[in-house]
Amino acid sequence: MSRPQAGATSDSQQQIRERTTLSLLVIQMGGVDEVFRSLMALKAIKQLYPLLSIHVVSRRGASDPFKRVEWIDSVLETPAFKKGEDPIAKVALWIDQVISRRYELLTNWTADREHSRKAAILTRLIPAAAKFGDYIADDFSIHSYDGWSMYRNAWCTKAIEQDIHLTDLITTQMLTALQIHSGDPATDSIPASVTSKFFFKAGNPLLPTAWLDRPKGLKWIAIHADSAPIRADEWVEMVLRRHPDHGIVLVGDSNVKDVSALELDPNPRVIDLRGELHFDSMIPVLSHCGWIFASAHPIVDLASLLNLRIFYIAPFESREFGLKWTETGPYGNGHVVLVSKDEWRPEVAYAAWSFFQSEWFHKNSLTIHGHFENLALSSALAEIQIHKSRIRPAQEGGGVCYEQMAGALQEFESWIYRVRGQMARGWFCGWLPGVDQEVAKLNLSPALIRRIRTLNDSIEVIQKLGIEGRATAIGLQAVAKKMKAGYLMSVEDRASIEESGKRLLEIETLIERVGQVEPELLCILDWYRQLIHNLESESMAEMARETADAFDLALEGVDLILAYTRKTLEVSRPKMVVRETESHRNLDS
Amino acid sequence: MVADIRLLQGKLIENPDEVGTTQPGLVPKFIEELALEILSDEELVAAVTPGAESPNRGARA
Repeated sequence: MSRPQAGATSDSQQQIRERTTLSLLVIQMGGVDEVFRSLMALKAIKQLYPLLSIHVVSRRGASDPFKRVEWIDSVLETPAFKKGEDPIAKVALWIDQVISRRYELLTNWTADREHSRKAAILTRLIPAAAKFGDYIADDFSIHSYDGWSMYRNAWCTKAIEQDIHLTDLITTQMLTALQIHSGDPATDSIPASVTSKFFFKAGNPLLPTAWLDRPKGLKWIAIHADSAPIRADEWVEMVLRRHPDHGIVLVGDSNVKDVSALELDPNPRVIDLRGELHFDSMIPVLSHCGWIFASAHPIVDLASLLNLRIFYIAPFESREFGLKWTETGPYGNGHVVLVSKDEWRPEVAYAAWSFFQSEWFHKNSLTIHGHFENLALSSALAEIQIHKSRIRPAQEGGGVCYEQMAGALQEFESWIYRVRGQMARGWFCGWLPGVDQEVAKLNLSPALIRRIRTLNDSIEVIQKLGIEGRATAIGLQAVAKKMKAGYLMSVEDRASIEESGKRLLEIETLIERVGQVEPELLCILDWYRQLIHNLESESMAEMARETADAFDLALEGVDLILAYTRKTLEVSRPKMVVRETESHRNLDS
Repeated sequence: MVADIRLLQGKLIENPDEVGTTQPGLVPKFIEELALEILSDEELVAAVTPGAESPNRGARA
């Protein structure tokens, strides 16, 4: 994603280079999926700020991937406890070790709820000049230091769909921070792809004999057995039957039983490595494959890192054809995502995969619809969606996006999903694509126009409430400023403060009611509440000012939605067309 | 829209060499909670399986 204009400097290259020798501490206490995403973000950051020293605190057991990259300066793992050892004393000693070094920047990238509390404590305890991410406050509740982390907590941890991948979110957060605190990146740093089969240090792990003795000359597809859906074996059999030049390697944990019932007949083109690979041996095996077939699992993040093409089976979501998977979906160019409405069908999945598998051969001379028709599966397209991932050019905002290539359309849901992402770009990047161009891309069906019209009515109500909320907060600030010692006030001022406080609560309730009628707009309230949760001031006047700022920011989002709804309705309005009649032509002549 | 720098610059810490918080008694409480959290992780890992977490293991959050 693009970086904001805010904080950009015009210092000389030499000065910038001097200031880029900062140290960054990343707190990543989540699972290996988050570790892989952090690595992708850090690689992008390191490319732009090559002199930045990067240090990581990670959970013992999940930290191995950090240790396998050369450009990470240090990896500190959580301590292990011996029997009978005092854990508090041990952790206190460990903290001493962590803080023995001075960090200019510290960011907490842990999103996993299971581990977010310890990450928040560490974020609070470890000294640094500027901090980002979630931290534990004096009252032991979790707050956020920066806008991107508030955004993640407001929307990404909930069912709200928005089009920014979590990898892009953390990358942008830190690139923006570096731009503010350190200046623009060196001009000779060329941003290249962050994913590569050579991402990790080359090791020399012992590989299973079955893999070493594999038939030569085959193209390999890795199947992640633990996350593959039921009937995945039928998909594999179709591939083996129709693609004699392909082999299958099964990976996953042998302890996971009966997830996909992947029991295949003995075949020299099938190698079963379930339970036989650890992190170091998994990498050379995956690097030899052309594709991996998997669903939501950390292996998808690893495959993204290794630039291995992914055929991703999106997990079922609460909403039909929901888009929540896009926050953690495969990262990079050319990955294929299959979303099914109901039951996953192997023949449909095969049709989808085989189209993209052969796209170099047909070179767009065949459409997906034509391919499905050839396989007598045209009707199945109504039951699925097929997406393809793409990294947007920097001038389009950067980051990964998923383009729908075929299947059922969910026009309104896709529209609001995109608009929400634009709201975040407006809030944090200071960059937005033109509304006119965005609206011009829409396929305006009568149903979509009707839906947008309904939304427009509701968002106008929220706008009025937001404006009133901001005015009330500003009024409250003016009265609170008059208070001499923070508690001495006239009876009139006290009544005014009480009234303003009550009105602010009423406005919040009224916005919630609009959200109950139009649930797609509840995101505005979630965002406002997140900002209010993170108020920092202690005086009433300052808190009132921060409340006014929160309304301001929420209103910026509201204004953006209105710009989209109004433009869409304007474009869709019937226009008078003058018909050229015989008499007109006669007059002209 | 112009990005609000206050939301992007992070929290600038007045005394960056200071550990955690100036509130008396809070640092030991944080360390105690952290120790219990890490300990419960350790016990969980030991109960499930020995060895490291691998891409083969562990569901997504």
